[in-house]
Amino acid sequence: MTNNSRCDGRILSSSQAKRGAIVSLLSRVARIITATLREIFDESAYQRFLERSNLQSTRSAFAIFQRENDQAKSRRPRCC
Amino acid sequence: MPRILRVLLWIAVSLLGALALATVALHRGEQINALWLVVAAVCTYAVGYRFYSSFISAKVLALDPLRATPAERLENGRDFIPTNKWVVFGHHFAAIAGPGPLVGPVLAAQFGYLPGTLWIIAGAVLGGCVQDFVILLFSVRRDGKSLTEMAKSEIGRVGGFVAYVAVLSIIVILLGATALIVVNALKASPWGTFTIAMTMPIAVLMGFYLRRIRPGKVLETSLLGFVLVLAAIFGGQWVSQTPFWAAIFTLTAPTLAILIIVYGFAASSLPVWLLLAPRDYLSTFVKLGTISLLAIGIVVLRPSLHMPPLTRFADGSGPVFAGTIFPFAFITIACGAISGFHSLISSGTTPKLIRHEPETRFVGYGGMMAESMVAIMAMIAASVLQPGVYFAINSPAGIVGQAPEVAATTISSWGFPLTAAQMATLAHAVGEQTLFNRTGGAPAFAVGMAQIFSNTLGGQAVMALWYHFAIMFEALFILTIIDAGTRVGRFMLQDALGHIWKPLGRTSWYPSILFTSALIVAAWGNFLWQGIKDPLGGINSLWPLFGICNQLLATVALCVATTIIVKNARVRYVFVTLIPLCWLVAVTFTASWHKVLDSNPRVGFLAHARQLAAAGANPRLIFNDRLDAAITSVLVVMVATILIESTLVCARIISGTQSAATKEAPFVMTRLAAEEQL
Repeated sequence: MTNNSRCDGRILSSSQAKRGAIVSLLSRVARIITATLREIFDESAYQRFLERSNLQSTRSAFAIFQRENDQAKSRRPRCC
Repeated sequence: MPRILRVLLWIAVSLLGALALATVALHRGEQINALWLVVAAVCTYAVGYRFYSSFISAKVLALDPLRATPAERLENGRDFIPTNKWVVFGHHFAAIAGPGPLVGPVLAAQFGYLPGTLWIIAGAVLGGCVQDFVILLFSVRRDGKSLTEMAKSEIGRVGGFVAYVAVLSIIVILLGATALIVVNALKASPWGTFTIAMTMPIAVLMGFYLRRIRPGKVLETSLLGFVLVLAAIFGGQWVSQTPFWAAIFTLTAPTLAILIIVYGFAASSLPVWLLLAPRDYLSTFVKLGTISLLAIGIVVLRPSLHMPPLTRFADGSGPVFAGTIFPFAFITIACGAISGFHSLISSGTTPKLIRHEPETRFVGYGGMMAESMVAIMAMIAASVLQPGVYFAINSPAGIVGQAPEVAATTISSWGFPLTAAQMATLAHAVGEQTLFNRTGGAPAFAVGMAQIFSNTLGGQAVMALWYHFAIMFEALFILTIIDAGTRVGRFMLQDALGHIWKPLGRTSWYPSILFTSALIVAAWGNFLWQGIKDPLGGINSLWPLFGICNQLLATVALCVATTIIVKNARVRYVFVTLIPLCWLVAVTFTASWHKVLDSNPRVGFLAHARQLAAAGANPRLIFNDRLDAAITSVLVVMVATILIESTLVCARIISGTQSAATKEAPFVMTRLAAEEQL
């Protein structure tokens, strides 16, 4: 058994490897939280709308998105 | 992890859970720490998720990782979008978490913390989580069909009709009951009223900011709105201390009710982007933040529970609401244990986002576990209060008396020592004129939450700020449900009325919008008005009625699920949905029987109507009781009909006299699994 591990051609000490793993885990968690918040708050839906419609983000593009999104949103029940 | 370690780990989790449950259930005489409730819940959820949901996935539902979901097959970038399971989980949780899991446990704490806690944990693991999971999966396998559509196609036309009426009824009663909670929390409270009033211009400002200044930056706008709401809480303190403004914002219950009714009508008729959408964003932002904060607060501060495990009110004589533990504890706590409303979300947006079939387990079963945890936190917030304080806040004047000294004497005579001076000090600490008779659950939750936080974060000096933060959080939550619910109800009504006269079904035709909005608002406004005129505080009638409705909807959902399981030739595993179904039938039918026919006027609607008639009371109050009895009876008859119909369908399938064909979408091999491995 060795305390060192090989990664990208460099020898990392086990503590460095552990730190790297923690950083990578934390950044993954942060990415998921951000993605979740963006989905809940419709930012992702707006991004998909822009891509689908080949539009840049402008007031009028957002107004069109809101019209489309609001139709669906206002039919969605909110739970008790 | 090696298998032996995994086995040892799960044995340790199970033993810890059993120890915590035993401590919660058997500890008598001394206060216990709130952490025991948290450990009992977390360990039970973990074991339930690991073993029971895994069993359901493999044996009952046969989740297929190779089967393409509608999000993949029908992907359109709009409704059907294959989404990361964590993101769907967050989205689903944000949609199912409402004021229900906060209010129900606070009200049920009148029995002591034990009955409610056990029901929340067991009900969720064996009932609520199962319902959400199976309905989500069945909807995924039917291209994201709604519960009403599934009831129609799998059980029959009557099933679809009953589901429709149950959904509309629950929306109307929910809106009336929750609006009453806001009225009771804000009456004679200039600070709270000012803060909530300010959320309306803040929402409109957010709407304009989002549309004109920073299009698409919703998170940024919500953060800005949140900062403004915090400023409004601070401003509320100033308002309450300034005689001129305090007088303006000190409103009576009827005035507040009228304002909320007008607000509901306006919100349903105004463009979504102007008020509904920004409020929804703001409410979600505050909701997620506050629930996380409360969870951290309870775990870090580990408060002690002052409420006994069982109180003398287990006999049904409770001041908060009348009725014995069975069945009333089980309908009072709906959303934290099993809630029919969740089946609407599980067959609404969520199935259209699921990327792989096996992820329905995490989202459906796991999402309900998280909601159940919120209910446990609410139970803790209510139970950290001194019992005397809890009953002083939650008991209506009709039970304990109007004058503080009389109320304190009555409550002390129950064995929960309390003085009027103690309540005056507490009211002063939270910035209110009085805390007596603040029924509805929200003020008690707010005082509990303020007590938990003020023990470290800022101390007693900022207790008033915490209290008003909690009140703002719940009222904002509820008002969002009122505007969204009124609009959903309006659409449902328009869809139905369109069959009678086509123009009424046009959702953009303004006369139809105004007419149907007025109908829906009048329906829930009637329940709200009934609540504030009720000498027993309204919650005594309305919350059980709402609970019955919600659990009847869960009965419909479980009927649909059971029928599909039988059709899928999994009869030997049908107990998975049949046991919670039988339990709910027993609970809801018994509760309905009591609410309609019980001879105790505090419990039975008709007995109360007779008592009022004998006393020569206002005919309107008598009519309200009879209306409540009629609604309960109609709902029970309708649910009994769907129950009989689904039983007949199952019997015919088992005996081989009817085809077991389900309406599942045909199997299509997924491409996503292969693409993700590349």
